[in-house]
Amino acid sequence: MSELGRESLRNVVLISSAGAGKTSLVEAMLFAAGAVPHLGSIAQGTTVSDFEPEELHRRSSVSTSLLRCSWNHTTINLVDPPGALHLLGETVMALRAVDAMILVVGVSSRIRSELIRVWSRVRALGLPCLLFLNELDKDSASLDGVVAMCQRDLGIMPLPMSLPFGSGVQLEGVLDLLQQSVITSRTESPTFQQMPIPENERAVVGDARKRIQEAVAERDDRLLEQYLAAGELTQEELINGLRLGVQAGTIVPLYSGSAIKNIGLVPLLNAIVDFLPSPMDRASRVALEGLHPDTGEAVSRRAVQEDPFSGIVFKTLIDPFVGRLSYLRVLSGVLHADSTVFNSSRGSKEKNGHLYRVLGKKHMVVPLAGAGEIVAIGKLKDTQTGDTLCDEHALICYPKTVLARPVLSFAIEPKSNADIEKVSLGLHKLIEEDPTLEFSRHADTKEMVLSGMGQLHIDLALEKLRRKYGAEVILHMPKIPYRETIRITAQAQGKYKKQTGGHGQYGDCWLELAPLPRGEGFKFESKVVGGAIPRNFIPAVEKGVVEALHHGSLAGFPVVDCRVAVYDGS
Amino acid sequence: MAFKIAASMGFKKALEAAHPVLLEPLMTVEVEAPADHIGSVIGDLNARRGRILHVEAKDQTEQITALVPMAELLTYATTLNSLTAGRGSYAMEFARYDEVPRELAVRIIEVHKVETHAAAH
Ligand SMILES: Nc1nc2c(ncn2[C@@H]2O[C@H](COP(=O)(O)OP(=O)(O)OP(=O)(O)O)[C@@H](O)[C@H]2O)c(=O)[nH]1
Ligand SMILES: [Mg+2]
Repeated sequence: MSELGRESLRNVVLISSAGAGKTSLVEAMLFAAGAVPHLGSIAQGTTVSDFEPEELHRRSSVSTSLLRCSWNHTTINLVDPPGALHLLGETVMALRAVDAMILVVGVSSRIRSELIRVWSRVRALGLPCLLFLNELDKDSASLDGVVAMCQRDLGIMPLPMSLPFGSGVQLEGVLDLLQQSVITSRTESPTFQQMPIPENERAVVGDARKRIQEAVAERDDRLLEQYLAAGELTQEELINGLRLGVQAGTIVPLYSGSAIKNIGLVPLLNAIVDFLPSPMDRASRVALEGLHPDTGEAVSRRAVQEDPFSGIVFKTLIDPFVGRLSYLRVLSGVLHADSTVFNSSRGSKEKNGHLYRVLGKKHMVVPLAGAGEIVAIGKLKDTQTGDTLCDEHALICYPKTVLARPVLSFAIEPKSNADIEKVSLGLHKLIEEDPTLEFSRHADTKEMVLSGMGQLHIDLALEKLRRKYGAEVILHMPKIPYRETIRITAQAQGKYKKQTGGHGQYGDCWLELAPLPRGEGFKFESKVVGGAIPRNFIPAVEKGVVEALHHGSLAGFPVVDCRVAVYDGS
Repeated sequence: MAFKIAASMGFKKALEAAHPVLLEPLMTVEVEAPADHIGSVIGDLNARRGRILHVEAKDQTEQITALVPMAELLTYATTLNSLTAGRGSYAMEFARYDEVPRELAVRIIEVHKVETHAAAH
């Protein structure tokens, strides 16, 4: 891969409220760019991106897909996470893989809570952003409405770059403001037609183009002077200015179209190539900084192949047949297939198997992957989502992404005894794929507890458990781990006598039970003086107390926060 | 062996004399909700025997920190969703154990006895 190779790569994630059309838009991009021969659809379950059974029958994504196409000699990696509120962990991890994003707003889906939640994280990362208004084929579409909504809910001021040509069901194409042409396209063919702007649209296009010129000129004193003097900027100045503005986050271009009608894709694909940063562009703004896992020293890498290899795993896929695949963003250097790498998050060496380029469910073997690339790695053993992998002779560990902890818990009970093993094995694998799930056995109640981000999340986990591992469970409300304690100090005698044959067994002790402050647990002491109980019997006394502690007198819950002293006996 | 049994017996006797009480786990709950829903969120937390510790404004949202018994939070995810039209989120963490109010404790003990009885048969 040459210098040119790196420059001509874009890694982009799609973000939106659930159901705004990310997966459909990705499908249309792949179709328009010639990466797939047919335009698949959600309705027919034929998109490249949604292929898992859980996605097909829900008609919505449940896990992040990776896709790839090529446009104007540039490779575009597209990352399509699910938009559902309870699956936000997928989007948050996907952010580690990319240098930019496309924010999709659907005319009907609007901007909802799930998007607002992830938006603060996206803003904190300062990811350059393109906006796409989808569903222009619907009658209710309004560009002004979307601009106002983005301003109010997301705090961004989008700059329209394309306008609808025709409206509602009569939508034929878009007016490309930068190319000053009409671009029409159909769903049957990936080719598009380009025509001059018709007379009756000239005024609207002129005004909209003026706004683009102003937005670019405002960012730069020299350009502003020239704009004021000449009345306009050259095409080259415009494109350069837009690129700088987008990458600095001061300009958010707004494109529009219809994913299911294959309309508006050309200006969007052009913008990805022309305005969004390459991995190197991005690294020049946000340095690749981490810590040396042994010394804790700050270390950094450059996004070039000459630097030592480093990368972040942003997704793990466990297939009962194929085994484990780890999706990695290479940040620096080159990763070779069948080599040894170091997992600096876990402090262990790993042998990696084949490397794959991914297109939905298809995996194509590649010999290596250079800085900026995204690949799937086969056969890693201990590596989990979020881990840093690096050259074993040049260690670096990148900061870990903090995911929200689960909030909804259920006790689960295998439907049959034969399922017990499968349930625990299957759930552990599902958790590796989805770190926002948790599964444990509660020490007090002995229940198996499954926790997730919400009902949908739990349902989904159980569905996968059934399909992939053949195990079925029943859900219950989890038991509350109540405990018991005491309010006042009390004393009592315990006496045991048993005559068996010649040897008599005899034990007699006086105990004092006293409350301890909350959270102090249990303390045992011996205050026996003068050998009332022989010293070597004291441990037996303690054992007896500890055993009795497991079952309180109220309802049999464990007893805590008390001090027991043995002070007399015989 | 004899001392072990004697100690168990002695402990049980002493326990009954020492005013045993029931403890329940309390969770520290951090709720983030849009300012216009804050009233109903706080009202609901109070109804769940929660104690509001802290309320702080952050941009358009408010962050509420409260101490709430775990038993009252089993279906909170669903409740918060409907209280805030999907805009609220929360995180929780075990805080400590605390005494269950008397009348409630009587009920819990009763239910638990029935359950263990049923399980034994
Ligand atoms: N009319 C119309 N419908 C669309 C358009 N794009 C997508 N849809 C429909 O909207 C629904 C959701 O589309 P998806 O592509 O699954 O949206 P998504 O953002 O990937 O959804 P999640 O993965 O669940 O977040 C599907 O039924 C699509 O057919 C469009 O441009 N016009
Ligand atoms: Mg989708």
